[in-house]
Amino acid sequence: MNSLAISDGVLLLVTLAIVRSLNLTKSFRLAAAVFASAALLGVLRFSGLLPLNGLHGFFSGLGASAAYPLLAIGIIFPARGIATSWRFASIFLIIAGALGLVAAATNLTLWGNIFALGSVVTLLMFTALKREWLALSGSIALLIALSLFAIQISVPPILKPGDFLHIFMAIGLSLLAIHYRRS
Amino acid sequence: MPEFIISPMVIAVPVLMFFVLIELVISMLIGKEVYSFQDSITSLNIGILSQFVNATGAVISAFMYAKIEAMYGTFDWSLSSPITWAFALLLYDFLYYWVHRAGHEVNMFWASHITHHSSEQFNLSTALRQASTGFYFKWVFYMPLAILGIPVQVFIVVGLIDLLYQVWVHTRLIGRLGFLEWFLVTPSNHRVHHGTNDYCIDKNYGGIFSIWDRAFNTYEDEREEETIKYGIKKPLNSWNPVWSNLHYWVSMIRMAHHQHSLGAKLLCFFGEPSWSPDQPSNQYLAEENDRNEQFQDQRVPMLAKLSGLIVTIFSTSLLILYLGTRQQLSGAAQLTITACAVFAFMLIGVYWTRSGQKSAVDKNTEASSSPEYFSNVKNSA
Repeated sequence: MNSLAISDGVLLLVTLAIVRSLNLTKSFRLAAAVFASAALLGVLRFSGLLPLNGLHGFFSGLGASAAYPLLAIGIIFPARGIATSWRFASIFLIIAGALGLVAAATNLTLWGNIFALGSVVTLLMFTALKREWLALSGSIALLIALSLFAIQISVPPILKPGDFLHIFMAIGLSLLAIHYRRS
Repeated sequence: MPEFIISPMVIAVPVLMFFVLIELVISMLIGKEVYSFQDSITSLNIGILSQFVNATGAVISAFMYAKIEAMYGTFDWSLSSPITWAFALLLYDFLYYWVHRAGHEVNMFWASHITHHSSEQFNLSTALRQASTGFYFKWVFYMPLAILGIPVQVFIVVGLIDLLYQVWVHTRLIGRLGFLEWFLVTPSNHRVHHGTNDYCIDKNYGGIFSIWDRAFNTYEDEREEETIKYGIKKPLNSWNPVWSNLHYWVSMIRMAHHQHSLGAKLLCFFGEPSWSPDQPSNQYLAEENDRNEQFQDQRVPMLAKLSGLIVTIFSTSLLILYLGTRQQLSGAAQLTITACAVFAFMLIGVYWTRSGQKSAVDKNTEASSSPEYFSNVKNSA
């Protein structure tokens, strides 16, 4: 078992807890469900139990191009349909996912990264303006996760670039969940 | 001279037309009126139009499918294994259920699918009345097949099987089919799907299997004691194939234009078709306020009927020729042929609708000048 399987396991536990939390908005929980699917497939892939590389790649791409924007929009507009109804959250996920697929098929490789980064930066600005310190910390953790993964930082032989992504995502999502569940 | 290639659709188009003819003859023999001339010819024209447009749409869908399958395809499936085909068909049908359900329950998708439901008749020609604008959203629902690695050839064939299966269920000549009703889509439970009666709304979305409807609580049996009224809540009242594809888009955009908040504007596109804002602009969608019973019975002059029939026969031939040679035609040639077909259908549609309205006005004028008319008015007053 390598470090990626363990860090993906941590992310899986955090996202599953969010999915089960009834105090959070539906958009938050649906976005977490996408991250959880990717994390589960990551655990299976990196542990060598069931290497479904294509499926893992798909859910990771869906997370970047659709789940991050869904998470951000749901937090910024908590009273809107997209945050409060499964129907509108799902429609958003399908449309954003479809655009992500078109981008992937037409070799626009940066599409998902741009959407994920844009969503996290927007979330960071929103939480900073509202002085929601816990949520701001969560947004910063998500930004660190994406940035470290983008520049492919690793600590050989212990941590790989993906580990930073998984761990900081788990921290970021936990902080956001704690803040928005409490408030 | 481009070579003519016989593809499945080249064979399907005349075969399906032949089935329509057979149903027409049988209905005449048993004395059950299930066809009306204008409605059926309009259905055929809408179907032909959709094939012209969707020929390109299908290529885009297949391209997307092949790309995604190559990028993410997770498992290897043997083309010679029956398990591959059975699994693909079952999964395709399950996904079709959701495409179809989204087509009814999300306004932006309903704007496309409404074309298929706009006929107030229910017969095999209704099955051919397919939207020209559906391909833009349908492909995405089938992507799970690509991600699982089902080969594109299998996807195309099971898609065709699912589509062709659904043709025969558009008939009023076949009653209930016993135990088959439990798990298959049949003419009886599909009649419910096309009804505008309250109990029929948003029911029976299945393609081949009705088990999905039973699983997700959208199944409804046909009620013998209640005659089904076919069509849509706000009738199309037009024989124009182009308008039948566009009318709901126009209404939806108009309604969104009248909204002041972004949320309401978005709801116009992503809300349910029954959603309407609490203001006068709700006249645009899903109302039952102007059902024009006379429209379906309008008598179009014989010359107009004949010209419509000629246009349909001519465009069917053109479509077969187009489908058989399309791959060798330039983009400009394809566009020109499609544009000619669209133009011909628009002309005949407008001509029929206007001549029908004119004859209705003449009939009313004639009736209102007769002594019986005045006595009726007097009595009703």
